Amino acid sequence: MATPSTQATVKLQSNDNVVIEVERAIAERSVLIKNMLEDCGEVTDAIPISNVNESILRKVIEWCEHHKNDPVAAENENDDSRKKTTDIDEWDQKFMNVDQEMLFEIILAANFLDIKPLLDTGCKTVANMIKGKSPEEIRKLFNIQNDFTPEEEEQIRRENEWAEDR
Amino acid sequence: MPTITIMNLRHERTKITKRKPQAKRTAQYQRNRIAKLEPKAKEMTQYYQNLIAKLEPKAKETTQYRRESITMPELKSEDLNNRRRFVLRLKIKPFPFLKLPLELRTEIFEYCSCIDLLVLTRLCRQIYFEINMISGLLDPIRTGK
Repeated sequence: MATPSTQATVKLQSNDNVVIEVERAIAERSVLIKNMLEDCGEVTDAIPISNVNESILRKVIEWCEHHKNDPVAAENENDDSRKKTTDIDEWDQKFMNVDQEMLFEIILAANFLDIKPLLDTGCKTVANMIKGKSPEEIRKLFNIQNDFTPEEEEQIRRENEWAEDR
Repeated sequence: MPTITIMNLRHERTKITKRKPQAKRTAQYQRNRIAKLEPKAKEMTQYYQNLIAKLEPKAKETTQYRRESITMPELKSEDLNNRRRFVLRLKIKPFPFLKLPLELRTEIFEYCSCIDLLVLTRLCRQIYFEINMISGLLDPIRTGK
């Protein structure tokens, strides 16, 4: 096993070959990078982040910088505790106020880099976009084609009747 | 132009005199009908006024909600230098929800309320299947447990 390193910064390389130097503490918000650094010890070369381009990587680093002092959730923490609310703090709301494509890329990057709180914020943002909308509005928002037959639509309507009565 | 004869004039006069009482009757009928429908019209007006008053806050709320949910991309100085990039960033593209991996869609479903989940099941077969058969999020509600 490698000896623990006191390295202050690490270099991250996006998939479009841009190298960004960041504080180690910030990079370690990503569990993927944290584990990699723990396993390899001192890393002088840039770490390739193959699934993320420069603009998304910079955006993710911006989030990590802002949240670098947040307490890290315990690995065995019950998932239910972080999934009860769709409230997003004000800074994160502004951070997520990006175009749909970037939001999609941020969610994928957070998943790839294993940054749970950022992934949660992204998922909450999408859930909030769905909230209170009609099926037609959501289809437009997500570009989804209705492939139900009229009979199937009627069957689903009957299945959901109990909720409409409330 | 047709020739006007006395016979023609007589014929026209007969037609007019014959029509007169009928016309009178029709006008009276219309007046009666309008008088009869007046309470109904008032009732309908009241009904729609009430309905509008009831729906107005909801409509405002929905408009406000839509305004909030349309995201204005954060513009950067380089966007302003490059017109094409600026225009591209301003275009609102739909969110590619179905391109997300299943586990991430399931995470999103977990943040949705039951009502929103039921709405989502009406989008398409794939999402119906994912919510009902894979996520099992609606099972406790359907079985009442």
